[in-house]
Amino acid sequence: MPEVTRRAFVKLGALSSFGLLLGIAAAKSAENGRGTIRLQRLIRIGNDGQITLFAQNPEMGQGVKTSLPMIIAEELDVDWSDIAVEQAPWDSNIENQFSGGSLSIRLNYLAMRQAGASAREMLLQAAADRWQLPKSELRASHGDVRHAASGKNASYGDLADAAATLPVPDDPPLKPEADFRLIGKSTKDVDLVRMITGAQQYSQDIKVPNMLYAVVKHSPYSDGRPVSFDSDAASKLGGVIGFEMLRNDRHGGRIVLPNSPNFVSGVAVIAENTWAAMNGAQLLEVEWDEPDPLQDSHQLMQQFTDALKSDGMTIREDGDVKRTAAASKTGIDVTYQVPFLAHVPMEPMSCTVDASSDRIVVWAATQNPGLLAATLAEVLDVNKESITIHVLRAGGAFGRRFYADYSVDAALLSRKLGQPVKVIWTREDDLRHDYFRPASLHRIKATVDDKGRIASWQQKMASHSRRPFLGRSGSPAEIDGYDFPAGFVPHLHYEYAHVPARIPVGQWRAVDFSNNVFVAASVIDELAHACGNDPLVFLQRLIGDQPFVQVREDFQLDTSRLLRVARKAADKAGWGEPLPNGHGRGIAASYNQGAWVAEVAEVAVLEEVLEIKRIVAAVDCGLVINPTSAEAQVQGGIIEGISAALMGEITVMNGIVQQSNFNDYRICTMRQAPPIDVHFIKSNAEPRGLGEPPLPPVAPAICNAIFAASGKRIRQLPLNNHFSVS
Amino acid sequence: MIRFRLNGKNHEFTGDEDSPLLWVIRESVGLTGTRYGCGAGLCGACTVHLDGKAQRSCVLPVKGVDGRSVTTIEGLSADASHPVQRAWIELDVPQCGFCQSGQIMAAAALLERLQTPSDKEIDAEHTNLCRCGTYPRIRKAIHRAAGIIAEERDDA
Repeated sequence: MPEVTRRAFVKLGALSSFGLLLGIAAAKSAENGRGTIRLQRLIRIGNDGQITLFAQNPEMGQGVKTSLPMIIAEELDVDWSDIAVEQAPWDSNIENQFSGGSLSIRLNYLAMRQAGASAREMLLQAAADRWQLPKSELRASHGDVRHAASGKNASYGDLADAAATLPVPDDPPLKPEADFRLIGKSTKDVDLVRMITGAQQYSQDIKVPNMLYAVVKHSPYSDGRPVSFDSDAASKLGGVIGFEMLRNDRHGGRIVLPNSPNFVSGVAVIAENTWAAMNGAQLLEVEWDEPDPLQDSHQLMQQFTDALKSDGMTIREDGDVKRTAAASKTGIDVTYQVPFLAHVPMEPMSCTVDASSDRIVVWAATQNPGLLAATLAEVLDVNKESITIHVLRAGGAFGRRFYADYSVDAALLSRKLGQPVKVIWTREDDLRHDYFRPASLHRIKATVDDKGRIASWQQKMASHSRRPFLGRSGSPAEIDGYDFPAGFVPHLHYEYAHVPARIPVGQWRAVDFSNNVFVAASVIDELAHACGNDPLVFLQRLIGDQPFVQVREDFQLDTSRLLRVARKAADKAGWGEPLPNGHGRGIAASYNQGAWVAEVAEVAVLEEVLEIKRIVAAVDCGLVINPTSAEAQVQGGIIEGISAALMGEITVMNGIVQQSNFNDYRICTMRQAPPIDVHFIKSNAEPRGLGEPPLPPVAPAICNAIFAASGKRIRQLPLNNHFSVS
Repeated sequence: MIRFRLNGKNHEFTGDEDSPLLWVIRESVGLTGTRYGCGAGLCGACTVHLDGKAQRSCVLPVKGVDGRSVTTIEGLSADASHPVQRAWIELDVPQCGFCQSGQIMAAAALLERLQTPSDKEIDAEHTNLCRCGTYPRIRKAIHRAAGIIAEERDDA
């Protein structure tokens, strides 16, 4: 048994896998003696002076390929212009190597700092050893270690060999935040120039030797399999090589994992180029077996209506809602309805897999490489360790690429054909075989007392739930006991009715906050108007003036931060200042997915035409790592929320998704995008994420503004069913 | 055989003449900066310049460029120096970046036609889709690029 030194076997603690990785990395580099330090696969300092930082998490436009390395660079104390950044491939030793839940910075901020700090300490120690000087007299900054008194100086590159042999510190001192030079400074995206010149590579651009191209004619149903096919016309096309039927008959068509969608069966057209494959797929005649029953979203909504007539599963019950409601003079009884929503990232699904040998190689835009590896391990019946994943920049994801379904076709085809295969999905396929934000129906009976406070809130929600559909454990409920205004209303009852269906559903951006914040913030606004209060005043009264509220045993909401963003958004939007006829403002505030966001929408409703004039957002995400990227995230989340509110609707009839492309599943255009003013609360608090939090408040802010502008209350999205929005 | 100029060089294409120009550019020529977003001329990610005008290449069969001149994002400049590219860099426009080749090509063509477009003109003319929501920065960058072009014209 080899001697296990302290550096190779660091005791597992709070940052356990981080500590272990440092150990492995240091031991390995000592073995190969090549003068590189690599810590947790994040930092490489060559003895030629080249410093490379590895971006741990997948990049999908949220800027973490830039911001996570910025944090390392800050502690390592190198100039940003002196380093290169590369995307880390999938590494099962890297903890939290996924992009989702607005968690990239939140989960990894400290780990990135410690990686940079550890490397810095090792470099200092190497210099101290070389110069026989106390480490405390040395300073590491701008890529050099200096001894001020004597003027001795060595670059990190000079010291790399020696530093690589040193033990990795367990708990390196971190830079005081007051000394930050890079964190908090707007830093342009590391791939900016590539994205501007067309040089940036995306999944659909991959080309490897001996690669075949494939386009799959997928079942028009989410379930349903090919029975037979006629390739007469398709086989006559130049460039078409062959056809393969793809049916996953295992596990009843499911890949059984958590977060595992259905495998959509189909017939693949194999070709020498994408156009031949696409054209071939068009010309292919396939007989499908029809699933039974055929899914229908209108019928499902009717089932939701029926489900709300009986008692649901109690999610939370405080006080006595029925007695309080009976005793109240002012109240509302309203029903809210939201549709299925599609992800439609700009880049349709695609994946390249080489399963022709024992080493499986994958080129994929993925939010979750670990899940991708687990999925392909199951599908190909191999160990995860035999899978290499090159993580590519994603042309948008928004939750769609958290699953690995789009990789399965390529994996199976490559295994069968013995060559690398690139599968590209058409836009129609990408839309039709998406995993939708679930539709839901909500009935709320709420009352206010004579002091303008919400006295009772009874909410019943019916939906087709994600977790059972995806095979995930946990409650099926799409509403949680901590969802606002729970904890703020003394008599409150949340009930949930799970109506199973086979329309594919999954995590959309902001997940269930995308529907529940719309409902709650709209109802709060309705209650404000019901008792003749200004909605901002009513909202502030509801939030209250304690510093925090213990919403649930396991969840404490810092309400002062919620109040602060509400006030700031209102202030910056000129809340209360007069507006022309037909114009109105609405406000919504939410703590969701880790950050506090308030938005004021200003709209104009003239006859049947709706125009969004402006959105003002106030955001508290703690310490802002990269301001330019943070602002972009807020604008982007708001615009996606506007798309959904104005036009987002997926319908299913006779088992088939009715929408097909951007002509009938429309997304926001330049013309529809209003000016968006973003204001960050200056803060040194723990940094939070921004991928999702800005999205949920915009729909209710808009609908509240519509009411203020026109007296029309919208309780059913999308808005283009009520107004002209283009 | 289809003969056309691409980024200043002569090309010959002997495959299926009905292949969309997009796929000829991406796979026959091998320039992948022009992107597939919808295949139906709806999103603009495939925008190139055809004889100097913006053209969505996914809906144009390659036989339609016989004898004509095509410019892709790779040919807009040798080194990201086109005023639109410089404005895009200055204002840090892209998020995921996938639609940006098309956005830049569309903006460059727009500025050839309208030297200083107003916001209303940008709304009406610039119809490329962006899912990440970079529109506020695209708008600013179009104005900025118009400014750069005007500055350089005045300096010349």
